[in-house]
Amino acid sequence: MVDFSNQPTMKGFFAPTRFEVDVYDCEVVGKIPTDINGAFVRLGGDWFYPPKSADDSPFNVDGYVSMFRFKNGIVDFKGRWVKTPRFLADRAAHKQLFGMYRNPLTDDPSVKDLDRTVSNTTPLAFAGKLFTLKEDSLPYEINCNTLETIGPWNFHGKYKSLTFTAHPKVDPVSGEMICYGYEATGLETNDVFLYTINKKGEVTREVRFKVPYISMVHDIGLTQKHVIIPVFGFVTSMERLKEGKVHWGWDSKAPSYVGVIPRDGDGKDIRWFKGPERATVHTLNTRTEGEKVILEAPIYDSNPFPFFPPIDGSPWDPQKARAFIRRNTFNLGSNDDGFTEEKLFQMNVSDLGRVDDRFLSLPYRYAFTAYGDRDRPFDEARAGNLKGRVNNCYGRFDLATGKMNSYFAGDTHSLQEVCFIPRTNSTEEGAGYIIGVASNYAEMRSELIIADAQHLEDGDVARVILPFRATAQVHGRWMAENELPFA
Amino acid sequence: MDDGWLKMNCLSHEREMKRATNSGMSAIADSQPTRRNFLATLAAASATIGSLSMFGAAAISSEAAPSQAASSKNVNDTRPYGVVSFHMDQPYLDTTGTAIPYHPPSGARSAASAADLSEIAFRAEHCYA
Repeated sequence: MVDFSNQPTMKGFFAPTRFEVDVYDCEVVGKIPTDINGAFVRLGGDWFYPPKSADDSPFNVDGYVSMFRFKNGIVDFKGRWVKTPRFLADRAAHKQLFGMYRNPLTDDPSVKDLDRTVSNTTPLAFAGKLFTLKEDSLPYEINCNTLETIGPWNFHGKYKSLTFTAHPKVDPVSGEMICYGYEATGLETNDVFLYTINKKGEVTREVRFKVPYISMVHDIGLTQKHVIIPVFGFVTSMERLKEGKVHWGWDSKAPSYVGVIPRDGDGKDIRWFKGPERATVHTLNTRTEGEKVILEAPIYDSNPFPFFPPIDGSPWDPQKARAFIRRNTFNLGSNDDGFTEEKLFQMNVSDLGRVDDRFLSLPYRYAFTAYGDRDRPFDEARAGNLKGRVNNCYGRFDLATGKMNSYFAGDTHSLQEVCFIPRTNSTEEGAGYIIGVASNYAEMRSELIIADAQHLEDGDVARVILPFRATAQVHGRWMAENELPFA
Repeated sequence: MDDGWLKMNCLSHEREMKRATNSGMSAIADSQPTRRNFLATLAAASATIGSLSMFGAAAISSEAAPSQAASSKNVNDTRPYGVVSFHMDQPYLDTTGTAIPYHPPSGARSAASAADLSEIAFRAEHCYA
């Protein structure tokens, strides 16, 4: 019997949704711009069965892929579970068989050696295929029209890492994908395999190297010359797993490292720079300027995730779990392993930021991300009191001038990750739309907002209304009409 | 106007009624200066002077939009009873009658389930909510 009644954090808007869905011809307020054709694909999770442990990570939630399909001003919505072997095994047993996040030693013996990924982090369109990604396993291929799960994909057997990142980078100049897997040769290994995959989906290059310590390598940076690899404070060990703990703990004494490797280099060419306690979970963009490699990212001072607790037993510090847009500069001409850090904006932001992907790896100006503006109204009488824990705005952050333009979602709303859609036939950076899902706590529903990225203060261009709560998203990606074989 | 607002907002009135009934003072209870009685009296008085529709509309308008009440002396300045209001999601009784009256929300208040969660409990499950 399924029972979520003893899950205190899964109530109200945050309760599991537990259904697959098709909505045709969605209700729209405003008018969908005619040059938006394709799909906004979202990936996140929803516990189908409650977790076995109350202190498990929400990153262990069952994967759920959904899609707003745009065609000639009409929007359809579809949502499906990612039907991994793990999901199917749970369904067959009618209960949760899997234990703590990335700790197979806590699983039911009946599922020993089964792929335990939930494939719940990032959707990817590449080489004409749609994938769901999670960094503990291979990509799962998804039918882009039905959203039914096809199965794991290893790039014709040429991708040898056992894992695949949730944040591959597609070079807008060459069309190549730079991707990697960490813990590449198995649980608790310090191997990283870095790959180049061409536009046809063929592996053309593999580089192997080791990280200074086994850690979460969640995202990387890509320039036209280098790959940047952040390694920071999350640590693990087989001892932790044998004790039944969640995969990661936070070591505040562990230095952060950033590896810089030439795109045409070998494993021995990687250079590690060393810095203080930081968490660079997601990057915005990176570029190479002469001998300098520049990374810009929303970076936390310390551990952002309370479910990966400090290993020294100290309490998790919410004040240090705030991300600020910072610039790290690595001088390849220097003789030491230090680097410089600048805080570009004094306001903390969501670390789920995006740029105009046509400028990825290149000089650029604008970053987009969500943030909470406490000076904006919040109607707690209609929405419920969240004590200010809302991201009610999307910002366009001008890294050249330090100016920020803002979109406000409404006084009962909180925004999930932003995404950028370039305007058709435009090459100007930032010309297009921002898109993202807002949770409307007053109406108990989700709304997809679309705004002109160059005129955020003007508000919505259009808003797609779902008459229910859409499953929570981690990452969403815009997939243009010509990227996938849409029906 | 037997709607939820009147029922909920007149709990103090009901307590007065109960107290009066128990002490055999129903006649007095009926004349207690409650919101319901006040509006009824106001309507009757307005009818008497032949300007019921305009004056009644003004009274209702100032109740529905308290921010406008400051420029409309006729109602709030004469409100002699307490009102239930909210501050920081907590109800309280404002005995001066000058606070913004609480109206039952039209919203689902679906975020309220997280109101009592600590920061660590909230972020532990909804780090990207």
